[in-house]
Amino acid sequence: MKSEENRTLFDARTLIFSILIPLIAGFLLSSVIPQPKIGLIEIKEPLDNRVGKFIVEQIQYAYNHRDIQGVVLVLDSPGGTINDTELIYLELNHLRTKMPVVTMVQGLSASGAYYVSLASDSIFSNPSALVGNVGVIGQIPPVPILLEEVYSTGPYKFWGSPRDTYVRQIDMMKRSFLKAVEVGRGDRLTISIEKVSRGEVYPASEALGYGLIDRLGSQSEAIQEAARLAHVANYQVVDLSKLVDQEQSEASAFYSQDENGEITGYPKEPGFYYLYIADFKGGLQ
Amino acid sequence: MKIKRLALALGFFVLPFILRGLWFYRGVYFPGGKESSPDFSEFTVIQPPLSTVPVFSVSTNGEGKRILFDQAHNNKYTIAEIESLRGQLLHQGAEITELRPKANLPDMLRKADAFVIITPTDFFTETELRAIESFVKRGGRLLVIADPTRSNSESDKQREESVILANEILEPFRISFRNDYVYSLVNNEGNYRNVLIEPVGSHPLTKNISNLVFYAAHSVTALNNVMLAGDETSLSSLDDQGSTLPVAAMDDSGNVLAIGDMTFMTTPYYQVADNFQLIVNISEFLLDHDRSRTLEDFPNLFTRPVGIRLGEGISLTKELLSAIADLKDVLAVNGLPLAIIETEQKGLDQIIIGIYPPNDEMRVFTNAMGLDFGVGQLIPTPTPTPKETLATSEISTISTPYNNLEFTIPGFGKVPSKGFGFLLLYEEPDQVNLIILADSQKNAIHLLKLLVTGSLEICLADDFIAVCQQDAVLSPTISEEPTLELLEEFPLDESLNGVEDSSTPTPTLTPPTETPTPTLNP
Repeated sequence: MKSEENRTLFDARTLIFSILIPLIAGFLLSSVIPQPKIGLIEIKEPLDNRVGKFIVEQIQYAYNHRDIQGVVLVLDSPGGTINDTELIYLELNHLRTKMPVVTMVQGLSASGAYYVSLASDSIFSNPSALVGNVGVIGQIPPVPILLEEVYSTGPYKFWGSPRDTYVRQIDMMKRSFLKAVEVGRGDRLTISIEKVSRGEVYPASEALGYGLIDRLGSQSEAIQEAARLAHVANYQVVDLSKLVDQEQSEASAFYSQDENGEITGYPKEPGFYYLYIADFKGGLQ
Repeated sequence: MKIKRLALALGFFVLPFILRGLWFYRGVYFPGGKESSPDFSEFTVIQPPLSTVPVFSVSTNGEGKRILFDQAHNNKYTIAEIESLRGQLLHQGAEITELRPKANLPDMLRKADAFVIITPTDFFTETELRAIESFVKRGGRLLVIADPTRSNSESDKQREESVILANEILEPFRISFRNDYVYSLVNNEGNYRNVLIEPVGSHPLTKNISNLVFYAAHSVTALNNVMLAGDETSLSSLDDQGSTLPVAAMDDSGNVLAIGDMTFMTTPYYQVADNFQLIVNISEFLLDHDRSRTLEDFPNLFTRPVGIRLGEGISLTKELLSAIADLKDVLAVNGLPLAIIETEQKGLDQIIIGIYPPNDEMRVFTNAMGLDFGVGQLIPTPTPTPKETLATSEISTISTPYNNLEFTIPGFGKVPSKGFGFLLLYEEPDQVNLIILADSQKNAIHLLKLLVTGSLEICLADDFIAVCQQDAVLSPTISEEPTLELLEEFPLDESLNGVEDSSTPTPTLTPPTETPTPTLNP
């Protein structure tokens, strides 16, 4: 009888201390295993210093938060400054050492925008989007002038280099862009790098044939692909721009205005750009 | 027992972790070891293939040569930009003049040996186009340079116009620019539009040239005589087709050169590859020829002081002196003095004024030109009406035997002596001879005035002969009396002292008091 009482007591204690309490504790503490998240980073404007800084912050957030298991880069951009493009590209490449990055092209992934997409594992695009425009544009600075009142210590102190050097720097940047295409697309590229260098922009369906992108599809499919590559399920999709403390720097106009106050397709600031101009009025070649 | 309980507790504690983990995570992400970004350090700025430091070669090849640069057609360049070519021309001794807006191109071309048109954007008038064509036919050198980066770039239409108007100039010479630019994605100099250019064949223009670089160049279409072309990787922006696209060509005469780029002449690009050698060769193209002077070049067909000689039957009247004074003013613009001389003098170009028949001295020139004024055919004249009979008989009394003859002039056919005069240009190595030949003194003066006033367009003319309808426009009032005032003003050659005494024409050569209305050969 006593033995039976002891067994019942044992079973109750075992149930409570060896099963229920560890189970409840395990259940409660297992929340330290975070629900995986797929972060969305949207680039839907020209890449300039402000945009570049904000995007880099989002990438770094993803890198530093282990619940973010993959990133989908949503692109609808003509590109932008070379400096900001490269900053984003390198930061994304760094992020890829930790999690997959998938690009979703929504409308336009041209020039610098396509450049940053090369740092992704897979590129999705909606069928009517435009992709490509690989190359650099830039404007040679004006002919140096000497002023009576202003002195410098060398002939190129003001301008940095002879005017002709700018042309050669542009070509150097083009070569690095083309190398990024080769490295980023690898065997998937079926078009010659010479043809890529023509700077054409292709409809996504054509770009797919050339191996410039991987698949035609939706943003949902791009997110699923990111999750698949990250080996996660039951994930949450988060907008990384809302998780980053953004310093509200005032947006300055990227494009210049003509004499009528209309926005032109040309950047306001001189410099080098991975930028799709789409100048149908006729301008730079 | 305790161990069993602990194990059980641990198992149930871990179970939620495992379940949660499996709920969310189905594997581990491996980024892989593949290269993910380019090695940026491998990219450097490629420096251009600089030539040896260009040095202007000094010579006297261009002495006395005038090169006219067009600046009158909204040309998209400045002379300072092409200092490399300008400097080379100046070092050769050439004189450089600019055609400014509103200047008279035909007049300027008369003084020029070569005409350089670079990136014009305003159309040339029909008169100007004709003058250019005539200039080239007379042996003048023409250089036309178009450049895709030097046009009115505000619209496609305006850009195309700059090519169209350049092609209008080149049309008679069967060369044209294409409205494109040449590029190469494979073999270029720092940029796809900086194309490598190679000489085609052997020609003075491509002497000592192995490689050139053009910086955005129109391709050129020419039947023959392609001088420079891109390499096999060069393509046209028009259709992305090409291979060895021509960018410079000459016409068949070798007097017209069309080049599709001007940037290669500008700083610093003229220092790249053999670009400066091409500039040297272009300057030689512009200078290394002797343009034959034609009547159209008057007054620039003279290069030495000019002596004017009066042939038999020509007397120094007030009217003639006045015309000579005008001629003197015209020649003075070119710094050439004019004097009346009696005999041919060495070192002088000469103008000889005479009436039919040419005297022996004039016949030397007319014979050399294949003109025989000594043999004419009598023009069959219709039976005069009674009203005309008197006038005709009056004229016949003072007419020369040449009045009713017709001459066969090579290139002109039969020309009646009556009512027509001739201007003949005969150039010798050391002397230019201009002969004015008419049927009377009055008409000889009239021809001189046509010449001085630049009114030869009313004449039927080729390069060396002009047949002019006499007294058609100008109606000089003949005064047979010499004017002392004019004689004092005019620096007569001493040898002509007493010219008044010899001014009386011989009876047979006295001009008719009324010049008959010129009639064309029936």
